[in-house]
Amino acid sequence: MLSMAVVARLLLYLAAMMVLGDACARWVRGEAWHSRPASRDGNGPVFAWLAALIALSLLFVLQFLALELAPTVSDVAMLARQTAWGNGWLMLAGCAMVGVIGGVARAPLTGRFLIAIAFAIAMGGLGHAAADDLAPWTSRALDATHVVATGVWLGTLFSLGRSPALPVWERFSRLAVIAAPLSVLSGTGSALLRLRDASLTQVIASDYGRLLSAKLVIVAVILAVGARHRRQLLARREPTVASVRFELLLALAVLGVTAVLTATAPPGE
Amino acid sequence: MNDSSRLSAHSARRLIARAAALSAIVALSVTVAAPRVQAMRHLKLLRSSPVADTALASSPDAIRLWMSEPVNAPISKIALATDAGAVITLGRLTRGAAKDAPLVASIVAPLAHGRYKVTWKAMSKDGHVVNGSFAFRVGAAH
Repeated sequence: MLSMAVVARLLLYLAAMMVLGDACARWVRGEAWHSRPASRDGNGPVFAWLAALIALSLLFVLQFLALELAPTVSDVAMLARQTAWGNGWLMLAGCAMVGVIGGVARAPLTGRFLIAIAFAIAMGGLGHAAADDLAPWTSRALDATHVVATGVWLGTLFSLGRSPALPVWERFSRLAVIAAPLSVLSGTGSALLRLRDASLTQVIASDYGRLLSAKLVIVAVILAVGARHRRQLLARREPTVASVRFELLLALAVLGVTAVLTATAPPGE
Repeated sequence: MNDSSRLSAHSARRLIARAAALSAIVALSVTVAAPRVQAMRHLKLLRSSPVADTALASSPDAIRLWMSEPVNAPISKIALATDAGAVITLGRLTRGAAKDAPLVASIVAPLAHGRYKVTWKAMSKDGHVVNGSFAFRVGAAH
C-alpha cells in the first residue's frame, strides 16, 4: 500500500512540476501572457493534468481501502466532503479538471499559469501541513511556496527542451536565481517546523531524518550543478545537454525521496 | 581566464553567497520563531476508557477514545472482541462537538466477565490512517 501511495504521490509531484514548468517555460521563451499556445506545441500540459487526475484517483482509492470504508456512494461522499483530507483532495481534483479543460481549450498563458499556481497551493492540503492546527497558515504558506518555487525552478528546466537559445537560458537563469533559494528556504522552514520537538539524535535515528538528509544532499548537488550552469551562462556559454539531463535526473530523485518523506511520520512524537 | 570570464565567475560567486546568506538568515529566523509554534503531530490515542490493561468490576457502558486531534466519527472504527476472538456488537460511533470530545462506541449488552481487546482506526487531517489496540478485563482475573 505504501509503495502504491508513493508512486501516486510521485506522479502527482511530477504533474505539478510539469504544469508549472510549462507555463513558466512559455514565459521564459518570450510568449505574451494573453497568447494561446499553437496546436503544433503538442498536448504536454493536458497529459500532465491527466496524470495528476490519475494520481489523485489512485490516492483516493488507497485512502478508501486503508479506512476499510464500504464501497457506497455515501461513504465516498463522506470521505471527500466531510474530512479535511477529502476537502484538500477535492480542491486538487477540481484544479486538475480545470487544467485539462484549459489545456484542451488552449487557454491563454495567464489562465494556465494561474491554475498551475492554484494546484501547487492546494497540494499542501494533502501533506503534513494540513495537520498543523496551531500554525496552519505558516505551514500551508511554506508548503505552497516550496511547490511553486520548485516547479518554477526545476519544472521550467524540464519544459525548456533540449537546446533553447542562449537568451532563453539567460532569462531562465535569472528566474532560477530567485526560485532556487526560495525552494530551499521554504523547504528548510517546513522541515524545521516538523522537527521542532525532536532531538538531533532522534532525527538522525529516524527514517524521516535519514530521508530528509538524503534529500538535502541531492539538493546540494543540484544547487552546485545549477551554480556551474549559471557561471557558464554569465560567461555567455550554454550548459551542455548532458549536464542539464544530470540535473533533471537528480531532480527526479528528489521528487522520489519527497514522495516517501510525505508518507513518513516525523520523529519526536 | 580573461577579464570577462573572471567577472562572470565573480558575479556568480557573489550571487551564490547572497543566496546562501539569505537562506541562513531565514532558516535561523524560523528556528528562533519555532518555540512559539507547536510542532504538528500525527494522530495518536491520548487516553481511553476503559484504561488500557486495567480490570473493571463491572461492564463499561461504552468505549471512549480521546485522540490528539478531532477525528471524523463516520470514517473512524472501533471494534471490540473477546479474548477468544468473538466480536461484540457496538453502537454507532459518535463524537461530540467539543474539540477534545472523545470518540464513543456504546456497548449494547453488558459484557460478561473476561478479557477484551479494543481495536481502533482513525484518519488524521493530513490523511495518515492510524490504528491501535489495547486490552482490558471485566471482573477479577482467575
